[in-house]
Amino acid sequence: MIVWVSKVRIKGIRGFNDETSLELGPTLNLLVGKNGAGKTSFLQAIEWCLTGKMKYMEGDEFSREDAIVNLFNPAGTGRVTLTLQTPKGELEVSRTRKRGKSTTRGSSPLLLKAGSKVLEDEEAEAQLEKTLGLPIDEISNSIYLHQAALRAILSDDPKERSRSIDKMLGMEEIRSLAEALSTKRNITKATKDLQARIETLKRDKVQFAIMTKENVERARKALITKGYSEDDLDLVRQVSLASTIVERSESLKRKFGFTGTIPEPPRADVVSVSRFVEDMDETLGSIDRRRTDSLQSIYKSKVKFEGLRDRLNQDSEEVRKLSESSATNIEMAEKLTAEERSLGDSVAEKTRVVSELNSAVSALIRAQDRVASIRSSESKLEASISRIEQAVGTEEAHDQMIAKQKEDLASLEGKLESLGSLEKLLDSAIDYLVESRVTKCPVCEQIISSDTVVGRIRSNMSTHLRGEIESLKNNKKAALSQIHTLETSLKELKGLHGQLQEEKSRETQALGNAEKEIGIKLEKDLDLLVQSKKEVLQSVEHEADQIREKLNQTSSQLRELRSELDRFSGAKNRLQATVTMAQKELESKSDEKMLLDELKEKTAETEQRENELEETTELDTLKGNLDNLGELNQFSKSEVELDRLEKEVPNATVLIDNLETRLTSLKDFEASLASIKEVLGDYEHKRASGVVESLESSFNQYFKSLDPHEHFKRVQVEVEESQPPLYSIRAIGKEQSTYITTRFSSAQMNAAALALFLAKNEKVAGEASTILLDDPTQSMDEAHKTAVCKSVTGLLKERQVILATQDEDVKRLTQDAPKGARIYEFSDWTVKGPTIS
Amino acid sequence: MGASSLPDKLDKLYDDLSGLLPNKQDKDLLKTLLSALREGDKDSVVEKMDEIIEDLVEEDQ
Repeated sequence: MIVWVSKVRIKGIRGFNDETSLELGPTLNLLVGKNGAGKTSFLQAIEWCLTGKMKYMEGDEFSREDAIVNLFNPAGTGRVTLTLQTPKGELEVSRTRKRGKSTTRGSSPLLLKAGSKVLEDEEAEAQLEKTLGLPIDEISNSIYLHQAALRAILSDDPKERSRSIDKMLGMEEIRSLAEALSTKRNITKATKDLQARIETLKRDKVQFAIMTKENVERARKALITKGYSEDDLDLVRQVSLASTIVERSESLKRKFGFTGTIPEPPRADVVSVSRFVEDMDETLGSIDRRRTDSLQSIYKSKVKFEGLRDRLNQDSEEVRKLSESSATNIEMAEKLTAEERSLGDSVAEKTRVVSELNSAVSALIRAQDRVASIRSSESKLEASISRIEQAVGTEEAHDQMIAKQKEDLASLEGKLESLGSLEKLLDSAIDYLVESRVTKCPVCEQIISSDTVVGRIRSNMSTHLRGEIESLKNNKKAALSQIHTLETSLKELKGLHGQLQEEKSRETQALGNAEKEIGIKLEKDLDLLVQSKKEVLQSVEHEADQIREKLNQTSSQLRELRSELDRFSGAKNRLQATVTMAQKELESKSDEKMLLDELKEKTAETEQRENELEETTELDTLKGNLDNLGELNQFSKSEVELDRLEKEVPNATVLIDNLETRLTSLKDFEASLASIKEVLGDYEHKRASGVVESLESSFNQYFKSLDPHEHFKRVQVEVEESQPPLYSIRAIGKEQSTYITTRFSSAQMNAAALALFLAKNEKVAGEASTILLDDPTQSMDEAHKTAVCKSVTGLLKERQVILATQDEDVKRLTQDAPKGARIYEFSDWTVKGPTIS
Repeated sequence: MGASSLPDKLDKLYDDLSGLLPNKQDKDLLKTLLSALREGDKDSVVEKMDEIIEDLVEEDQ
C-alpha cells in the first residue's frame, strides 16, 4: 500500500451541493445505492480532483454547458479535497472550480498541501505526478474503470471499441493523429483553384497587355487616317484644344443667356482631360437646353403677339360691321316687342274661349251620352210592354179577361156543389138499401137483390157522376191557373209602365243638369246643339292658330334682332377684353389702333431673337471639337492603360510564380500527409501489438480468476491491420476460438473488460494504489458476481478499492474483505446532495 | 511499461516517426501536427491541416 485516499470532501460538484465528507479505509470501500443516488458523482469527484478533467464527459452538449459544478449550488462554485496517505506522510490536494458559462472544458486550479508546504497549479500538479508516479493525464485511464469505458469496450462497433481500448492502453494520441489524417481534406479542389487562378492570370494579364498594345496601335492608325496629326495625339495639344473650347463656350454662354459655370481648362494628364470632356459635354448640353428653352419661350411670345394682333383686328372689324345696323335693329325690336305683346293677349283670349267651348262641348257630349243611355233603357221597356200587350192585351183587357175567368169559375163551383149534393144523396140511398135489405123494388115491386141494386148504383155513380165531378174540378183548376197567369202578366205590365215612367223622369233630370252646367236652355235637339258648338269651337281654334302663327313669326323676328344686338354687345366686350389683354402684355395704355402698331413692332423683335437662337453652327462646331477631344483623350487613356498593363506584366509573372510555388507546396503537403499516414499506420500497429503482448499474461491471469466461461479459458487481444488499427478480443478454448462479442453474454464480456483494465492498472498504476470501479458487476449472475468479488478481495492486499454498485449482493459477497472494509449507503438524493450513511 | 504524460508521449511519437520519414518537409509537417494535438485534440489537428491548405490557396497572397 503506497498512496491511497483516506478522506474525501466534496462541495458543489456534480450531484453534491452541500459539503459532504467521507473517511475511507485503505482496503475496500463499498458505495451502495440505487441508480442516481450519487455514487458515480463521488467517483468522478475523486477523478476530477486528481486530473482536473472528467474523462468521459465529452461531446457536443458538454461543450455547451458546465456539467462539473453542481447545478443547484447558489455560489456556482465547486471544490473537492482529497487527503492522501503516502509513505512520506499525509498530503492534501484540492481543486476548485467556478461554474463556466458555457462549457465543461477549461482548467481548474490545483492546491497541494504537504505539512506546512503549499503548492499551486503546475507546481502542485508536478508534485502530485511525482507522488503517484503517474502523469496527470494518465491517472483516469490507469485507476478508474468508468461505466462508459466498460460500455465502449463491450460495444459492437469496432471503431468505438478500439478507441476505448486505445484510451485504456494509453495510446489515444496515436489514434487521434491517425483519425485526423484519415479525415478527408479537399486538397484536390484547392489544387484546382490554384491552377485556375494561374491560368486566369496568364490569360488576363499577359495576353490582355499584348491585345491592348495591338488595339492602341490600331486606334493610332485610325486617328491618323481620320486626319489627326501625330502632334494632336499629344496631351499638350489636347489641353490647348480644351482651352479654345472654353473660350468659345464663354461666348456662347453670353449669346444664349446661360447662367451656369464653364469648366476650367484641364491639366495635362489623361484623367483631367477625361473629366473636362465629361464636364464640358454636360455644360454644352446645358447651354443647348438653355437655348432651346429660350427659343421655345420666344416662340411662345411671338405666337402670343401675333395672336393678339389678329384678335384685335378681327374684333375691331366685327364691332365696326355690327355697329352699322344696330340703330335700325333696336327700333325694329321695340316695334316687334309691342306687337308680340298684343298677339300674346289675343292668343290668351282665344285660348280662354276655346277652353270654355271645350268645356261646353264636353258637357253636352256627357249629357248626350246620358240621355242616349236612358233612351235605350226606355226603348227596351217599351218593347217589353208592347210584347205583353200584343200577347195578352192592355191592362184593361187583362182586367176584363180576369173578370170573365172569375165568372166561369163561379159557375163551375156551382155545378160542383150540385153534383156533390147528388153524390151524397146517392150515397144515402145506397146506405138505406144496404141497411134495409130490400128484396122487392118499391116502384115495380119486382123482386130484387139489394146487393145487385147497390152494385149497379155504385157502378153508375162511378162511371157518370164522379167522371163529371172530376171533369169540373179540372176545369176549375184550369180557370184558376188562367187567372193566376193573367194576374202575373198584369203585374209585370204595370211594373214596366212604372219603370218607363222613372226613365222619363231621369231623362228630364239629365237634360236639366246639362242646362245648368252649360248655362243655356236646351230647347234644340241635343245632337244638333253639340254639332253646332263643335263647329264654333273649330272656328275659334282656327283663329287662335292663325294668331299663334303670327305670334311665332313675330317672336322669331324678335329673337333674330335680339341675337344680332347680343352679337354686337359681345363683339364690343371681346374687343375691350382684347385691348385690355394687349395693354397688359405690352404694359401700355394705348388705344386699340396704337396697340396694333406696338404689337407689330414686338412681333418683329421676337422674330429677330428667334433667328439668333436658331443659329447653332457655333454650338455644333464646339460639340464637334469636344467630340474630337474626347476621341483623342480615349486614345490617350488606352495608351495609359497599356502602360499600366505593361508595368503589371512583371507583377503578374511574379504572382504566377508565387501561385505555382504554392501549388507545389500544396502537392508537397499532400505527399507529406500521405507519408506520415503511411509510417504512422505501421508504427501504430507495431506499438499496439507490443502493448497488447505485454499485457497478455496479466490479462489472462485476471480473466482466469474471474472464470466467466465454462469452455473458453483464455483471452487474447488481436490487432487488425487497418488505419487506425482495430482491436478485437478473442476467447480461446481447447480447440475452438471465437470473438467474445459474437458468443459471450454481457456479463462474460464485462468480466473480460474488467480483466483487461486490471491488467493495465497493474502495469501502469505506479505508486497509486487506489482503484475506482463503477458498477463492475452489472448484468452478472450470482456466480460471476462471486468471482468478481473474490478477485476484488484478492486485490485488497495491495490496493485500495472504491467500488460503486447498486447491487446489494456485492455487499454480502464482500463480507470476507479484510478488516477495515467500509460500506457507505447512498440514498435519498435531493438538490442538496445524497444522504450517505 | 510505465505510464507517460501526453507531452512525453508526443515527443516519443515524433522521435519514432521522424526517423521513418524520408525528408525534412515531412518531419516539419509532423511536428506541426503533433503541436496542434498537444494543444488540443483530434479536431485541432484537422483544423491545422485546413489552415495550412487555406493559407496556400488564400487569394490575397
